[in-house]
Amino acid sequence: MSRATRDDAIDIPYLSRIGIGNFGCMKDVRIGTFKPGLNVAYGQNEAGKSTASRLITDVLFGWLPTRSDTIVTKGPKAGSLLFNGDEGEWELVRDKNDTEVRTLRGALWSSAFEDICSSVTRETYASVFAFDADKLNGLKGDNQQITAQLITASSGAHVAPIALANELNDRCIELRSKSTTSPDGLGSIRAAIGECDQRVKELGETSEELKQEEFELLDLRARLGSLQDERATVEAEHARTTDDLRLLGELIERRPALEARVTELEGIVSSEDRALENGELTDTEAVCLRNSRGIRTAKASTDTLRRALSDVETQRALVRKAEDDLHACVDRGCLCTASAGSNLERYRREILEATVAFENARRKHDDQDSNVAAQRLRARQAEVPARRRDGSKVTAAISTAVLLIVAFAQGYMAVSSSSPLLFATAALTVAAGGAGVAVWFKSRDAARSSVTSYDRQSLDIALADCEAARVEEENARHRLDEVNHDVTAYLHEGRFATESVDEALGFLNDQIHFEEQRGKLDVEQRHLDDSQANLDDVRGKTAQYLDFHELGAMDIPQLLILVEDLGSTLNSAVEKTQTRGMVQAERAQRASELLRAREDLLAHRAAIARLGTRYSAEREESLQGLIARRREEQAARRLEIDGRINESNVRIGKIATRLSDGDSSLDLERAELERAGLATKRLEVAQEYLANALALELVDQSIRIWERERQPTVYLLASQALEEMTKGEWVKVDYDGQHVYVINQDSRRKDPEMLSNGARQQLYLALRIALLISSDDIAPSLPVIADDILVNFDEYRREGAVRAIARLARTRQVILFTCHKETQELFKRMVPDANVLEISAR
Amino acid sequence: MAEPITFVHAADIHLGASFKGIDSNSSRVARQLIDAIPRAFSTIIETCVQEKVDFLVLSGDTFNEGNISYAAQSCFFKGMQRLNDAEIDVYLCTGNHDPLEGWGRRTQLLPPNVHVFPAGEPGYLLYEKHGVRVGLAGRSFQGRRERSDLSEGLTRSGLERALGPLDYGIGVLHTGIDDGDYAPCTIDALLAASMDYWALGHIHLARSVSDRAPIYYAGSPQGLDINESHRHGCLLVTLKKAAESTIPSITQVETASIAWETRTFDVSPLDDELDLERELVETGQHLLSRHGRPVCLRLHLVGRTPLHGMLAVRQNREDMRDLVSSRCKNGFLWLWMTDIIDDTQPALDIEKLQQADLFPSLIIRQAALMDEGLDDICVALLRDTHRKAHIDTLLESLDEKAALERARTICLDALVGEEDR
Repeated sequence: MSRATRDDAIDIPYLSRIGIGNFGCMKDVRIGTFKPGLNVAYGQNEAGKSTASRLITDVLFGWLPTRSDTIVTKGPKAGSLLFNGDEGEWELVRDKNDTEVRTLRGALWSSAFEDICSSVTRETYASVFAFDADKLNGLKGDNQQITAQLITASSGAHVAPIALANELNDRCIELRSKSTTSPDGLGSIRAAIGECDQRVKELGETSEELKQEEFELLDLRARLGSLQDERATVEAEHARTTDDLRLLGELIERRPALEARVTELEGIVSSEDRALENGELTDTEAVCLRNSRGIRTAKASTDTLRRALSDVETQRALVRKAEDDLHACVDRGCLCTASAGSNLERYRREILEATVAFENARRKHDDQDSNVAAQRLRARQAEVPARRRDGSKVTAAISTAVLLIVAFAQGYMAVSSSSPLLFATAALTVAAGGAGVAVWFKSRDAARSSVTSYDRQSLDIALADCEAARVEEENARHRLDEVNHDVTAYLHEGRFATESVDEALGFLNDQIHFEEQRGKLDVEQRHLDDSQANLDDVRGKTAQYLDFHELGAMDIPQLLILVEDLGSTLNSAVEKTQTRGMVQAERAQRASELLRAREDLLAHRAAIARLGTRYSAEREESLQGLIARRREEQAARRLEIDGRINESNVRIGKIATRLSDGDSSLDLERAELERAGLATKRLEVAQEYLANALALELVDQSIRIWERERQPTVYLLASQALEEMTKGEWVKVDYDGQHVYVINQDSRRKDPEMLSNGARQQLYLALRIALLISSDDIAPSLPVIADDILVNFDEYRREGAVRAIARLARTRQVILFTCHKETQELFKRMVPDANVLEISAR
Repeated sequence: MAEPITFVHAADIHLGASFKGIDSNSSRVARQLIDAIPRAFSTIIETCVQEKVDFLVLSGDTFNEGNISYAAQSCFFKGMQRLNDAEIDVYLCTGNHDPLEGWGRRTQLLPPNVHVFPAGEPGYLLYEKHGVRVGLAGRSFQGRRERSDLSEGLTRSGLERALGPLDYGIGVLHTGIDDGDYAPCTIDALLAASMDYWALGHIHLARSVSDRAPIYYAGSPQGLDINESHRHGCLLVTLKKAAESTIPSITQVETASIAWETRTFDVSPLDDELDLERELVETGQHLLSRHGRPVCLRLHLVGRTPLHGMLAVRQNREDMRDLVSSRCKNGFLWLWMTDIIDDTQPALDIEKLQQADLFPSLIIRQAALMDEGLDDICVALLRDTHRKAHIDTLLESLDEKAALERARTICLDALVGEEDR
């Protein structure tokens, strides 16, 4: 952080040559060689002095657009600056597009460009470092900034504080910016929040609309229900009105016919009444009356018959049911019969098999018996000697048996007769028998013991076989019994089935019986009818016979004649009665018809009257029109309701769709989240802005303080330079915080604007020299370029200026261009170590 | 003895609320943030259905405010309908965010299983099932501010007077205990009411209010900003009779689909940006594993570090934030770094700078002087960007001291070269 000076910074590179590749009106020209310290370059007009001066600025800070009034060579601009130092040689080359630092010799000067240019701006360089006589009329540009930059140049800061202030200012401007190119600017964020607010508001309104629409949907659904009810009512009314209209049409159409019919019937009835009044049929009235009783009887009989027929129908139903049952029973019987047949067949087979088995068993038994008999025979043959030996014993046994039988018989008889003699006899006989038995047992044991062992064995086997055959026979017999039992059961079942069939046949017979009964009833009906006729006839004749009987005196022939007459009279009466009956029936029918016709007419009028009442018609003639109008109104009303229902449905559909969309729409939340994010960002940016603004304020304040504290040095140097240049005319340069002013040897203060042109140029040259000397660590490699600055100075002041410039050249490289030979000579004379060179014409 | 009853106690759902302090460029993150509260609400509903609870109690602030989106409102009504289909009753009171005066016709849209407590007077509602009689006493907020004690009249005796003998008595209230603006009440009053359970709302942190009786805040089911980094959910409550007393069993069911976290990270041991990035990604991955759900993270970077210059630039912090967020993913889990707060210090030797008595020391001196009249300076500076009327409000949200410290750091960081640090 030490302040570098020319003396202890001899390693600072310096500009040694200017290469004009293509610039202004010059091409491929080299100007140099320059040396550290003071360089005085003489050249005639158009030798390229001003071009070289401009080129240095442009190569350092970039090309400026070529002025239209400038004479230029064709092709892209190109130029280079060759720097030399103890550690090497470097060339800063700028062509059309880019700049490049080429290390020609020695160490890499990697940050050359930054080192050369970073601490000054183009404006500062052009104003302070590179100047001509015209520029010496002031310190053009932002004087305060230039001053501050230069004053704070040796402040121990890594970067010029004013550069930091500029940077902070730019940052603050950026953070305040409303431009869309500065999305982080408070203005932009505020604008974005405004847009977001608007969007949130719109989406909120949409959301509110949806909520209201949900309520509307609720109302609409209720209203739709009412409309549908109303429509149903109107529809029903319309249907009734339509029916009424049709009914009225029919009534109107039917009325003439009804009226005509009534009139017609009234005429007929009237004429008949008149005929009746004339007594045309009175002679037959009595007969009619009598016959009417017969007719009532006949009607009663008919009623009876009808009831009988009704019974027949009932019976028929029963018969049908019986038929169904019969069929079912027959089917069941058939099934049972088939099953029984099958079972019988099976059992027949089983019986056969059992019988065969039984026969086999029996045969086997017989065989075994035969075998046993043979064995026994052999045994007996073996026993013959013994038997012979014991023949007496056999005889004794028989005798014993006989005795025993006799004893039993005697006992029985004794019991029966209660005779003590017989009891005694029987006891004796039993005693004799007992002796006999004892003898028999003794003789049998003796016989058996004599049988050979072989024969006994054979006999035992035969007996065992016989026993087995017997058991087998017994089993076969049991099996046969079982089969027989089953057969019996199935036969029973078959009998039941047969009984069912019989029962069904009984139903069938009943049916047949009913059919017969119905036929009989029909016949009976006919008989009844005949009987009725006969009865009527007989009654008539009986009455006549009674009359005849009362006459008493008439003889049979007369009676017969009379009967004949009466018969014919009766026939005639009957005929008349029949005629009369027919007439009466017709009359009654007509009267009935008339009654019905009148009732129809009345009903018809009542119907019209009802319609009239319903539709509030004052006159019947207007009723039809009224109903038709009402119907049209109802149709229109129905149409209107349909329209409203349709509207409601459409609206419901729209709302439902919108609600469905809104259901999943998170636009409002998204916008609110975005807004919340923007609000957060705005706060962050505001915080950042505040920090940057405070930093700017901090730097500004510090620069002002630094200036205030360090400015005396600058103005002291400037005062020395000015006094030197003006030979003591102007002794002090100072700054009141706002303006620079000068003070002469009489302590008179003067504003620079009030000075002569030469004196003013000397003031600003002195200020520049002071600034450049006091900030010799700012861009130390950049040369100070002075282009014929002494033209307005008088001889004395020119010498003073040369001394001041020579002092400046001790701190940094100075290149002074002049087209005046005397100036070159003056420098040669006053500054012998100055590098004097000439720029040749191209 | 009466059968036990089970219910879910939830509160402060804040349907329709937007998250504060989030600046997310990721549409995925934005969508999940937007979905987080409805999802938490759905979890409550599903808990009710799966646990086959007897009823659900909502203790106010169900909606964030009156003009919430239709989608949020629809979400609520669908949830209520779902419970109606499952034959689960809902008893709710309104809070300061969704006062009854803002409901309007909204109550008409409620299915028949939802019972809203009235405002102005105590409401007594009866729940009866299998012979168990449960009385619920509650009162809603009429407006956004309720300075009166709404717990008055919400007592067991009041319940039994209105409803007859009861097996259980439950109080439902949205209240800031001892908070004057939000229906203040006292714990003593709640204890004196002799309820078997108090279902409270308003405080977003689930907690028990007293160790003498079951008086609970259910907390909010989803944290709404970075300051709500605790566990969020609803309470599954079972009340069981034993002899003369009622024994409550209370379990918190987590419902938050996004976790909030704040972490302070010392960057002084780190050498460069790559180290910092790697450490932050590791921290993020660790948090994802620990939470098992997406995480929104606020990071405080502290420590004296050469990275300070880089971190001082907001754009750099945002780039770092986006980079770390994009790399912290684990299947469906993601981490979104909401912001990186740079509280780091430059690696400067302030004493050395002050002793040098050059421009940087002037900056340090001036900063100290500026601190004395900082308010006025800030107001003056903000006039360039804000209307006078807004500045006071803005300054409430800004940290002037931090801004001055940042300003000093910006200057020193720029002015002091590496060799002088």
